[in-house]
Amino acid sequence: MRVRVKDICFFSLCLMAAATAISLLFIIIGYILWHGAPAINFAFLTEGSRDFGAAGGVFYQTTGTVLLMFTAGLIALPIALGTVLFSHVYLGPSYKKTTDLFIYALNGVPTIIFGLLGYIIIGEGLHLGVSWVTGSIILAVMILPSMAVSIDEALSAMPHKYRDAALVLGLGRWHLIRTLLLPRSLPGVLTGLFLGLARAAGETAAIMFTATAFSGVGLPRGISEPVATLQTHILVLAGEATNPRALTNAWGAALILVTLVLALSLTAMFIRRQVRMEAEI
Amino acid sequence: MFHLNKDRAAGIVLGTSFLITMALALFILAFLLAESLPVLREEGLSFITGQVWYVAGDIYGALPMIYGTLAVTLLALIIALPLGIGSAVITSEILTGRTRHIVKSLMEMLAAIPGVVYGLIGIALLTTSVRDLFGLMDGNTIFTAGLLLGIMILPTIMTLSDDAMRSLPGELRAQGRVLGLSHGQTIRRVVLPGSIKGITGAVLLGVSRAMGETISVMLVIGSLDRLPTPIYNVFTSGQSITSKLGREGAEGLGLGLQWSALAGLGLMLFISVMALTFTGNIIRGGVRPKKSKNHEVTG
Amino acid sequence: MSELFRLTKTSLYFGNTPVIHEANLTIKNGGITCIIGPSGAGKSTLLRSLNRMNDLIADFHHKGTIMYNNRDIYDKGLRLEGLRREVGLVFQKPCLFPGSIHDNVIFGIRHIREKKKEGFKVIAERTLKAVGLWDEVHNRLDSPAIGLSEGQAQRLAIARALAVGPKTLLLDEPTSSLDHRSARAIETLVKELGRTMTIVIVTHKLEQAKALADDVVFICEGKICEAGEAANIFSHPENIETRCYIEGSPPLDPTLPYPE
Repeated sequence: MRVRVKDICFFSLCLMAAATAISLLFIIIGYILWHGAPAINFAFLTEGSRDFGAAGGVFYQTTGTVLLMFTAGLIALPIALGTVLFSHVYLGPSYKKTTDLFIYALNGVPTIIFGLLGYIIIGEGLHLGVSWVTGSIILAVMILPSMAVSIDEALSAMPHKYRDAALVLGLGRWHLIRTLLLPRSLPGVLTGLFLGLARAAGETAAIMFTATAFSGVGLPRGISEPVATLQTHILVLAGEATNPRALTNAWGAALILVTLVLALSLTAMFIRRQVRMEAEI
Repeated sequence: MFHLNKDRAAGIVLGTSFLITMALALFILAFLLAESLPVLREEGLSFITGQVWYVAGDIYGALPMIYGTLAVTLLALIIALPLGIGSAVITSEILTGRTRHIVKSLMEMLAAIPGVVYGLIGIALLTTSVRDLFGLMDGNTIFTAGLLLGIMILPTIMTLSDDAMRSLPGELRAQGRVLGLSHGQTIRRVVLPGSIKGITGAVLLGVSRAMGETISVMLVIGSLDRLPTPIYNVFTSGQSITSKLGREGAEGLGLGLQWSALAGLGLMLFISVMALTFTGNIIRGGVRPKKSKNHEVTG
Repeated sequence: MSELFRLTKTSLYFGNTPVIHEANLTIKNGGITCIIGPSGAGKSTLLRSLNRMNDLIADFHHKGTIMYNNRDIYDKGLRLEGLRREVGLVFQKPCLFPGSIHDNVIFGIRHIREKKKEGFKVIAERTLKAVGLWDEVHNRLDSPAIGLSEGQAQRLAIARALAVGPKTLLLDEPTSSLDHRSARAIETLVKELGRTMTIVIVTHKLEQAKALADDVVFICEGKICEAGEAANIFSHPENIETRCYIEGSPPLDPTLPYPE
């Protein structure tokens, strides 16, 4: 009987924990919706901001976030793919652990460090300044490891026999890559791309010194100009917590950002699940 | 005639990207080391033990920031650990199939919400609640930051613990039941001890995430470079390494000893986070659990 | 007849465990050579080493030399892909790629320019006819290969290997996972192929070896016990283990006197 009581207590506690965790998500999403939705209207989505963000819309900020994110993805993807293919096809198995260790190390670097070093190395060292291109390179470095991990997962899930069957026909490394590994890595590439884009879109610390400017917002005229982003827009408006109009706009921007990031993450999760299901067959 | 083998050409292109990726982490470490040398030479040990950070006087003591980072991380852990493992028990041992998948996906969504949005929620919701609840003058406290971080690392701890428990073979559970243990006893005496490695790894990775998080902490911690009195009073404003870097980074970028001191903070953060990440991944059993060993081509 | 493979003091290791120990062996050009012996003797490992497919296994290494056409196959200047194109191999279990039957047949030659000139369709038809699969699949070449039966899949795998144009074909117990009828079809095919190319086949079925082999290599416990012409070995085995294996009696305890 005592066992039964203990079990009931144990499961109730676990259930409460799970319920808390899930309700946290709903509270957070609900809170963002509740505060953000009143700000959203056609003008908010299509107009530039005025009065240092307290009035007007977030059109340029949204465009800036998307621009930075896509450029970062464009830079990071080929490097991630190349890294994984090289380690699978050209390196011996004994290097695998070391390679993984380096990728995970890079993945663990706090993003604020990317922000600080990125500015000194790329912004000043390469004379690219606070700009679209500086921010994109920094974000690319930041999302590179998660892309590499996704691609690696897809390739590692491929049964060995396919590779053997291809090599036994006398296929060289390049043809092995082209005919077998590239098609096979596609789901991993897509998962990694969407995960990376989501991370890049949500990141603030890495770009607040390096890519964005708050005032004088418009579309950047070139890659060496700063861009406005939703993330830094929210950050600045959050500092004006006393001004209710600024705060409403911050919530509106947050709602757009969360929608964008969650859409990207859900897409990544969906693709990954398809791959897992296929791998189980 | 010059003839470059396709395999070799591909090798050069792919190898270059491989080297870039491998070099990045090392490069960051080397750069941080080089940049922080001046402050280490100037301040010596008092860079770590000093309590005063005074830019105009070129005095840099990082103890309040080190304390702040440890305090918010510990608080985050106290909140996220029971919630994370409790929920993982539910998803791994009780739920099955579709429900399990849905719950895990929801947790991944929680992890995907940007830090700056958490920060905004912290400002609007947490700081005021903490202030009113504990009768404080100012809700921007170390406690608030820890609370917010706890919510942010909860998904990491929960999903990785769930993975750890799921990777335990089903026969072990059956064995527990055969020996007359109840479902709950089986979980407590077989499943949890059996997956303790994976859970520890999950916790370490969660801790490393908490340590490195910047924006949300910066927005709610109060940004005061002072040790609280008494030392355990977390209901006062404080400063973490990341919030310091976020607040002061813009003015100190590349300039003199202040920049070197900021780089020194970055170095401390980098080394602690790396140590946690490595240990976490190694405890979890190789870098990745449950992967087959032989997926490379050498021929 | 000239020799095709010559193994000199060849040892094959997985980690520190030798699977084949100091083997000396020649395999002649043309005809069918059967590698037989009890399971676990190292037959497949020996076969796979002939076109260096063991190299794919993480902790594999070798000692001694393996010569193919008087050339060391571990020679630095030798192109591994070239070797594997000349020395094809068919695995125990057919592994078909996702994609159509046609895609599978031409998988190994899609990127070879000379073959493209010849025409993939022509090659596919020729090889599928050679393995006796043409009549069964010619009207559904573009449908997925996954739908084929195990026996058809194995014949498709042989066709895929033939499409590359090897001079030698290594077969690793190609019938072990097949039903009797499919196995017979493969045996007939191998016999047929043996007239025009060199075949080295690993089998654990004695009847199959007797039916196919021109030469026999008998392996037990990582050593080459006996090798030579099939007729000789099957009628007058010199070695006790070979004799026991062929006669189907259990291995002898060497401490006991030789039974007369």
